[in-house]
Amino acid sequence: MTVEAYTVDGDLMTLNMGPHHPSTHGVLRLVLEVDGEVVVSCRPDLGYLHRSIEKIGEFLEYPQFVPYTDRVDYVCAMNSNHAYCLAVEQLLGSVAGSEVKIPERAEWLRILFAELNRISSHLVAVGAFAMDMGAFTPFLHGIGLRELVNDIFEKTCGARLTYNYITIGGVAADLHAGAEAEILAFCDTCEREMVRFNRLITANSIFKGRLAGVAAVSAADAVSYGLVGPNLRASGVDFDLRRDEPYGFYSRVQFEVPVGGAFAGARGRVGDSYDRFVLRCIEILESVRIVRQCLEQMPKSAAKADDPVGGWQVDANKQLRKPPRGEVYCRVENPRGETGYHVVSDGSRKPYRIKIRTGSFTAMSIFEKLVPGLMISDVVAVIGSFDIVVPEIDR
Amino acid sequence: MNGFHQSFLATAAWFSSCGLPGWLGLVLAGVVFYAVPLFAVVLPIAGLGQIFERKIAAAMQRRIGPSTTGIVGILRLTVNLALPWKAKAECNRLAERLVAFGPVALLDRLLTRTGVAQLAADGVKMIGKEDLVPSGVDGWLFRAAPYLAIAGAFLPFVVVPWSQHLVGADLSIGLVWVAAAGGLTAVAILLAGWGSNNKWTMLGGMRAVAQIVSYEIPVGLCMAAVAMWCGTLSLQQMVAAQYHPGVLSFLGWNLIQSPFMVILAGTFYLAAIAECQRTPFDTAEAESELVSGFNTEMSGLRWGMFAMAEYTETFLIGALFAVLFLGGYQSPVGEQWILSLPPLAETVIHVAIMTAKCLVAIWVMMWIRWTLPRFRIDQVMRLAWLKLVPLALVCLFGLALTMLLGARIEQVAYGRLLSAPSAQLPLIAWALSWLLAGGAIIALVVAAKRSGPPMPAALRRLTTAPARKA
Amino acid sequence: MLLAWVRDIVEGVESFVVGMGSTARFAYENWSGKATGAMTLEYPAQKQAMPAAFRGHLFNNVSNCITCKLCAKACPVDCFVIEGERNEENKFRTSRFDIDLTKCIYCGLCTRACPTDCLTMQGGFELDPVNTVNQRGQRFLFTQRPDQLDVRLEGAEVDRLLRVSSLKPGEVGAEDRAFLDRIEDPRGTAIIAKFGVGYYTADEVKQVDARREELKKAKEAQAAAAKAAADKAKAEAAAKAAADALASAPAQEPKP
Ligand code: SF4
Ligand code: SF4
Repeated sequence: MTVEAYTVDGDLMTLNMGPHHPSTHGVLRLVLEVDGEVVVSCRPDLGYLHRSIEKIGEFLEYPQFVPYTDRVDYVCAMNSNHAYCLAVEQLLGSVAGSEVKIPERAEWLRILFAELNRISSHLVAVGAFAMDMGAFTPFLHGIGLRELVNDIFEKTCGARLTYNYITIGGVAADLHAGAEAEILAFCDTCEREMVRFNRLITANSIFKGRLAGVAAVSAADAVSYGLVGPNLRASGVDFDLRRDEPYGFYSRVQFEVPVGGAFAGARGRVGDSYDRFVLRCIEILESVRIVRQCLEQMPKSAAKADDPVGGWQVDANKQLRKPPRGEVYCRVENPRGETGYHVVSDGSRKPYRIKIRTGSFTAMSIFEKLVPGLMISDVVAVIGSFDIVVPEIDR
Repeated sequence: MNGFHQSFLATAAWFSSCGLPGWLGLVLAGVVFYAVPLFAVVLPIAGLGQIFERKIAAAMQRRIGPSTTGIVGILRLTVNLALPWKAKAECNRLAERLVAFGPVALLDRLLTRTGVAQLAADGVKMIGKEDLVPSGVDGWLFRAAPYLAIAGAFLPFVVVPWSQHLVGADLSIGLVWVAAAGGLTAVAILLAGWGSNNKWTMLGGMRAVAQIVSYEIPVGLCMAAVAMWCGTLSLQQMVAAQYHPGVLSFLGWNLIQSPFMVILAGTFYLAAIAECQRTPFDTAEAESELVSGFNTEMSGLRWGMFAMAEYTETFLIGALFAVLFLGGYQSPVGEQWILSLPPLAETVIHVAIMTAKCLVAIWVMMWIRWTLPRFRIDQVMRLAWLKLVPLALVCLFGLALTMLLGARIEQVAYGRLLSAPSAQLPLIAWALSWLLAGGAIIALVVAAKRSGPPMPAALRRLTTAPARKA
Repeated sequence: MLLAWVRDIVEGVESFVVGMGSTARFAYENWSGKATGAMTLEYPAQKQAMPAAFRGHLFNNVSNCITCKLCAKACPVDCFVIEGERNEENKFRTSRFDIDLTKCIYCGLCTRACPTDCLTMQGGFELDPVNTVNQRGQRFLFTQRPDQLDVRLEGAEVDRLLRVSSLKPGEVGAEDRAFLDRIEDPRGTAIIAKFGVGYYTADEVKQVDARREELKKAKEAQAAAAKAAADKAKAEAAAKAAADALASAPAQEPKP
């Protein structure tokens, strides 16, 4: 509950929350001015995790940048790979007749893995959020489920965190033997375990009480502050790039896009922290649905014809194709909302400029408006409920 | 007086006869007879509590908990110290050979897998740490706080009865002493919070004091209700009041005397948890909000003292809960028979039973800790004032009514009042109170549930198992 | 009002009981080893079997490498130092292939680029030299500074090198290993091969060394011959000069 009609009297205390604080999910610094427990103002201070990834991109050839997209948002590296590769493919295909042909199986694998990664990312988000709220057990159960996803990823693409799996023109490798069964088994486990997870934490009345009505964002605010993804949908704006601007094979699968609806009951408001949390839990289940559909519709055999490894887009001289001059902005629906890659090409092997638009950065900007009037414990709830991933903010 | 106390007095007299002044003899005898056993029981249990907790947490979280530290290191150290003339490598080899030896290996495995040896490692680490006093702290307060915390945790144990004979001091105002001595913890935490010269610790300290002071009230009300029910403030007599002859001696326990007692027990337990700052009420430590709250700047042994105080307090709550609601050290069955044993055997059995009851209470506390998220500080306060205090008051009045009812029934049945209204209700009164009060409570609960809005569809989807596909 | 108050409490108690029930079940399943049993792997004691696709340490099967340096081109962080030389049959072969694993981000781009598939990623992921399996291809030189190459050894160090290289692989201590890692000189390759820190088998190293020796000897012989020739020429020139001098001596006599 926010403290309404609050007037400041006496001195304020400046409190540096971060850069090293257990709940700032990385190195984020919030300069809070507090009057006792109540926060009067909040100023986010960024840049502690800045690695110049965009600038590095200007010195690397197009395919060499893919591993760096892993590190823009390491919780959902697949989705970042996907966004960047889509952008470069668009750029390569912007001259008529030179479209990049992506094998069908590769397209399926892309959204299959993107959805699996969305599940694992949301698991981290809801788990870590529960931990911020003082419940440690749900966190480890979230992480435990995520391990299963990582195991699948590891067997197919060789890495557990920085996958570098989706490549320009395809994917890096076909599914490993027995992967289908493993993924289906994971889907079952995930659905079963999520019910227990939700009974343990989502339905808990302390948890609800902590979050109901806290930091509610109206639909108009959400749009004008540029919130994206689950944060936007929690405020009641029904917008999902996967459905409204389908890329890849998303047009071929069925899924629902949940929107916020004051799930916390009487004390809840649309777009409050609890809505954002619950929305992620629902999206996990929807992603499981998509994963199942992918496995059903994917061409079964890995015959040479649908070898998914499109790999390097090379020309006749075995040289990497150079994109034509031009620029392209390509956006996809990441677990943290719309992630856009703006790639400018000057016709050389290296991009002239890469600009990355991330969901966490815009979510960050609304803190200054939301936090005043909340209590210190609620600041933690706000950070957690927006699912901030600091490397994505700083890049 | 009983034999234990007589031997205490005899020892005191012996000390005096050795030429010590009389008061010193009494103090020394007190240390030997009361303090040492108390520490001998409480300290290891408080220490083991931490290991126990880590294991329980691990089990709930798909982990295995402490599992690596065994006795090899201790053996190595011992052998090295015992054979200083031998080379280090040789001693180590000897120690390893020793560990390979059957029974030792078994012991090692036991200690390793249960994590008990970890306790020694943690202790050594804590003691070995640098005594860090950050610059800018208020030295006196900073240094005094851990000792006060320990004192606040141990002092209430003075009046806790472990058996008919083993009790530090059976004060006639035992409950008041518990509440008063326990209040020292609030001071300790405030000193730590203020003295550390850190904004986080100060916030933690402030939260803790507000919370502890508020929760004194529901705890006090619960204690008052039980004291009224048993007609005494002395813990020893409270236990005696719950005595029930015959095989089913648990029938005498306060907990099952009335539905109000059950609610009261829950209220007391919650409020007591809040008083010792454990999840879901650990707002003063709140590691995800206040870094580590009031003990952010404490390290090494100072931190260890706070941790020890916390676990000792959980133990105290267990003991109090047992005394107030679970018949203290009495066995649930056949108490009569145990009382007829010789004093030593009786004491041993009773201490064991009391410890078991404490452990169960502690275990539930840990279980709660690893289940629930944390309250916010304003919600903590709201819970105390809007929920627990009214609940405790309702129960207090309910119990008073029950006692009057019991007395009335007695009067009607026997034509006279047998005694003052007391805990031991006649059977009819007991059944009636359960029926009436229980029925009223259930009706209220059902009505309340009916009046609420239905669960949102989204939540229902999340919390119900998916339909199995054929 | 009263009902709402009771409802709050009832809901709280209900969700509390549900939560306690689920943690109790987790604990029960953990202890009985059921579905949600412990996931912990007690790492140094138990090791996970790495899947075949695992992107661990890089390994180059040097005999297949054609020194095309495509891997170095693909690498986004410049880990590679590759040098080639012509062997006795004038075929190109790799003489040096260092991957700086402290820079490597294990992205796998280099292995995708390699045309001969000689560069692969293995299951290993531990960088601690003590724990590393003493096996070919499991360890790499950590080339961190250019000046590490061609270290000139002092007398004492040469003695130490001799002593260390006479030890058995298992007896080399951490300090000595660190010492060896610091050195790279003609003998270094042999030592590295012996202790499993390089890419060449001992046989290969012997061949290379022998070839080097040969080349060196040939060079020396050539040099000696050239020198002899030069000396001879010089001597001749000197003799000629002397003769000339002699011949012109009369002319150089001081004129009156
Ligand atoms: S794995 Fe990546 S970073 Fe490492 S050497 Fe190969 S290309 Fe370079
Ligand atoms: S790409 Fe392969 S063949 Fe070419 S230099 Fe690298 S390892 Fe050798």
